[in-house]
Amino acid sequence: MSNNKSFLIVNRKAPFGSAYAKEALDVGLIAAAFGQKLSLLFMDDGVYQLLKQQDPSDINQKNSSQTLPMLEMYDVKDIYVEAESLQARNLNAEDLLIPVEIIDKETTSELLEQQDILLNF
Amino acid sequence: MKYSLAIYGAPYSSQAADTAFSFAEAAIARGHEIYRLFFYLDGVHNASNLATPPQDENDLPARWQELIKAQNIDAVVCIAAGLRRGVLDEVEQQRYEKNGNNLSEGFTLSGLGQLIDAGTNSDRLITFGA
Repeated sequence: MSNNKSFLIVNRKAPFGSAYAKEALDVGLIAAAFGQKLSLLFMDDGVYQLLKQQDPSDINQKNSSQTLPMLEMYDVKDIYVEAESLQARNLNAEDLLIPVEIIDKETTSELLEQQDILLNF
Repeated sequence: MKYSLAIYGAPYSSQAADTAFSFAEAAIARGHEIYRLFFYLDGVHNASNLATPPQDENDLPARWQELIKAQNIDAVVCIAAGLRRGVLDEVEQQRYEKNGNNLSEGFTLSGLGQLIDAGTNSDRLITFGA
């Protein structure tokens, strides 16, 4: 691709209850496979997408969180989580399935500002 | 300016698709270019030619089809999202041995790479329905 813009996928919804989390992850994997400069941000209920030990088999859903470690294989290392969203849900880094960088609200604003393309889910 | 629109809302379920349509019309009226419409998530239902709204309601799928044809816009439906939700063209109908196909004329089924390409090659990529 001729120019390499920076993409940020913003995940704000819970992992189940809608298709957003699953289909956002699909976009992430494709963007990474295309070699785009890609970062991911999880905030609001989107932080629940990163929880360890998810088991949605009782609601007949696939466990998309098992795909999250694939991001590292695709060399996607810039994965951010908004601190305030974690705190509001009584969660911390140990609850999360993959290594992330936890950033405060102000830094989140800067992150959004720095990107060429925001993909909101 | 070159715009691309990512549309995630189904017609008749949320306002997102109507808003996207109005935005596309307004952008064209102001002399801007639509590089691509990308239909994803429930937005794929905008591309169904089987939608049959009551006569006194806005027939959004038909209006998309008219706009796409009149302005020769590249309108892409994510193939994975479309197949899951029953939006198929003739090729996919045959591949999966289904009873029918319903992708409106002017739309094409393609991959998510087209969304990334739209971001890369447009001045603005705007999401409707997140």
